Amino acid sequence: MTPDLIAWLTAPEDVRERRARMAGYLANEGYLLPPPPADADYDEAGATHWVRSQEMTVAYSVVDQGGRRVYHYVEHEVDHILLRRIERSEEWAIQYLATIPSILRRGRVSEEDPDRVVYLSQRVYVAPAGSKCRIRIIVQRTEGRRWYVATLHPRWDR
Amino acid sequence: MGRPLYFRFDSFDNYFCLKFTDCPREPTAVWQDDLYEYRFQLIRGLRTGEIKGFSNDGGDLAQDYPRLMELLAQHPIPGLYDVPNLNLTDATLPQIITAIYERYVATRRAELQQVYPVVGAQAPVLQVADRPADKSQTEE
Repeated sequence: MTPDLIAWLTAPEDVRERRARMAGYLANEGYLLPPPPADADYDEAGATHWVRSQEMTVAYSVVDQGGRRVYHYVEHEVDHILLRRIERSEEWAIQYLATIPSILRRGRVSEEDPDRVVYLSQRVYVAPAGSKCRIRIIVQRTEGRRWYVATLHPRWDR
Repeated sequence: MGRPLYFRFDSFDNYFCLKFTDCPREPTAVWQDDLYEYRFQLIRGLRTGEIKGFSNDGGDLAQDYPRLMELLAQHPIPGLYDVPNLNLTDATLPQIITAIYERYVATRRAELQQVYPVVGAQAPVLQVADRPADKSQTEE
């Protein structure tokens, strides 16, 4: 991962083009973006919300095990979740992107505070080199008091 | 000379990524983030088990900085590092994170207060225009 690659991946103004670039890069590395999860709520898909002073488009939402409606945003997935996984050599975990709804419903809550909940998948996944990892998801509350998926990353499981 | 680190900062949620540039690329995963209360992570190579870098994905340096410094004092990470795009050489990890905080977070305090309003802070007084707006700027 070089600054040039980051600049190239993030160059297009349109989020769909940025996503397509990342999908192309990932395909070259041998990873495929999963299809959108079937077990999510798409009623508000396409609506826009302000998150930390940026306009974001709802991809889907999920009611988590705490009864919170948690939104997953298109721009956030591309510009933060995907980009960071590529930057950190965690591309392999992107195939588990569609597990977000199930982990929010049935994952283990590692930490909960008024504006943040940390989830860890119940399932252990086999990662490259035979390592075992779980998927960690952190949801946060915006200044508008909506919950959103802040990150998804793999966590080494001994 | 310290070990060289690549650095990137994302101001959306005050995220930083520090990755070693002197070791081969390999698949990674987060390690020991619970030790640092999910405010800081070690990025670990899955093939070699080596530490590949550091990050705060899922945290927010603007909110976490004081507690993160306490946690790094309790669970120190040894070593001296060079971060060329921060102009730092032979710096410890707390020194690097302090530099990131001072350059990328503290300087945006006014902007951040819109995102994290200070409780009890007085709202700014609205200014009333002392002359009518230009006709060309009037809404139809």
